[in-house]
Amino acid sequence: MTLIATIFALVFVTELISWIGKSVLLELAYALYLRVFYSSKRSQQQRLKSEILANKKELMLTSAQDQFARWAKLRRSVDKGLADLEKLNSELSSAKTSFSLKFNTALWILTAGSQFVVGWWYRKAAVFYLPPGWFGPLTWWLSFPFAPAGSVSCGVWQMACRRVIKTGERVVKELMSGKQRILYDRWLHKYPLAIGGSCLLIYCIGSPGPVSVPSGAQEGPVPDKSS
Amino acid sequence: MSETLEPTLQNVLDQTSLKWIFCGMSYSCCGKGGVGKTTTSCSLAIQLASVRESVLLISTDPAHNLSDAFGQKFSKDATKVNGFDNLYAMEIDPTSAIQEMVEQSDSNGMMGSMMQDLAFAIPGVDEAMSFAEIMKHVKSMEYSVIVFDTAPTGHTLRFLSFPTVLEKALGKLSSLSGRIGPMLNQMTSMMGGQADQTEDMFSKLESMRAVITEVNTQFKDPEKTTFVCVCISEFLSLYETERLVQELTTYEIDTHNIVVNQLLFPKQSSNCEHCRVRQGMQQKYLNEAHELYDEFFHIVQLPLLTEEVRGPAKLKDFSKMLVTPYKPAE
Repeated sequence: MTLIATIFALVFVTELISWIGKSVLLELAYALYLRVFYSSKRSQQQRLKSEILANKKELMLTSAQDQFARWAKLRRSVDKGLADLEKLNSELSSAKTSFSLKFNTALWILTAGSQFVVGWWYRKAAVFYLPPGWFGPLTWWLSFPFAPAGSVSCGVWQMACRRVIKTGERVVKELMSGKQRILYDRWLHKYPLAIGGSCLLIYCIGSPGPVSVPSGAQEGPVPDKSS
Repeated sequence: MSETLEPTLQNVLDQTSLKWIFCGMSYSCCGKGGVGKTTTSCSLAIQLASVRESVLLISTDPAHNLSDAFGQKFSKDATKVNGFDNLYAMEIDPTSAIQEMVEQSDSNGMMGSMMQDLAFAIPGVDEAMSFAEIMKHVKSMEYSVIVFDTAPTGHTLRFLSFPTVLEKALGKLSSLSGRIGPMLNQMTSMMGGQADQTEDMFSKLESMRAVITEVNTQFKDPEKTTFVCVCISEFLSLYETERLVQELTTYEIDTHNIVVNQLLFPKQSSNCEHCRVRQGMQQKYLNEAHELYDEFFHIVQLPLLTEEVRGPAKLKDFSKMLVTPYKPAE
């Protein structure tokens, strides 16, 4: 049961992240990161920007012909401010590059990486056992690649979860945009696999008792499969 | 801080470690059109000649302005100036120097022309190269101080003071030579060319690099090189001077003298209206210049004379004003 829930949760998180968008998350996280670690630099940048703007405005108002010394001094300060700002910007952008690398790595480990690891680690475990005879020859495929016969393997379970969540996402989206009719057609005609996945999901969540793994059934085929 | 630096070029004369002195403006805009650059550099050279062992005055202007000023024909070999014991002058046409280089590399056949394309693909490189060549050439001639009448333009300055870009490119080329050199050699010998051409080309590139690096170290040393800005008391000229000063600062080239030329000092009794108006304008900009540069610069004021400053004798008289500030006649 925990395996079922864990895999579902993992897939759900992955899909959620991809739905929100990695770049959006990155922006949010980066803003937070800046606020925590680079607050002084950021405020310095802001100050510099406003300073440059003020100086520029003054420079525009100063006549070069009438007050050359003042004008030249203002220009010097503007130029210097711009150079400083450039330096600061490049510093911040390099910080951003390194941060985005770290963040993307962390995201990957949290989602795809951990899915892969879980799938590999429990490759021989059955997520749950199917009632015998429901799927006929497809039973073999559902336990692909290493899970005991008559069960659902981690890989297939992950896939099913993903399809269901994706479909759910689409349903939500299309419901929100008020296209129920189209949705219904598509739902019936185009996503049989998704339907299958949802059935499985509903089945196992709704009645966990009867299909829970018999003790010691991890190795070898289910005894009554041949009958 | 508020104490004003004295308005003379005495500091240049006193600094005996100086080897290179540039006079001029950075851009062609008003530098060419007679702000008194040549007069100033000649005067400075004359004054230097009185305190230093030997002085060389170089102009790279094709207009032969040195010959004009001294009333004597100069060529691209250093010639002693009439009336002085230790003052020499030479005029070099920079385009001819480039021409020479091109011809030289042309004789190398295919590889030579390739190298030439490579080297001249970047704007300003040719000028920087010829300038560096001149400096190298002159350096071997053992003068205690050298005054350049024509200042290098912005591009050239950048290359001479930031040789890292050029060095990188040339360094890459020479490291490439280690790898593809032998192959190229084989290729050329197969095609019937001379085998040692490529080596020649790469060694030439290497020597180019050495020259530029050396010039650069001299340039950035304030003990050895200084830049004397020459301007007139007008808006555009001041504007260009400010740009030049900023540019020199970014290139880390020392500059702490500004010569303000062609100032009008009409007599009290004079009733020339033009002169009065113009003097007012000049004084206005002069005040601005003082306000802007007083802290770090010696500002030298030179008057506009009623006659052209030509010939050794007049130049000698004029040059005294670089050391003792000009007092307008009452």
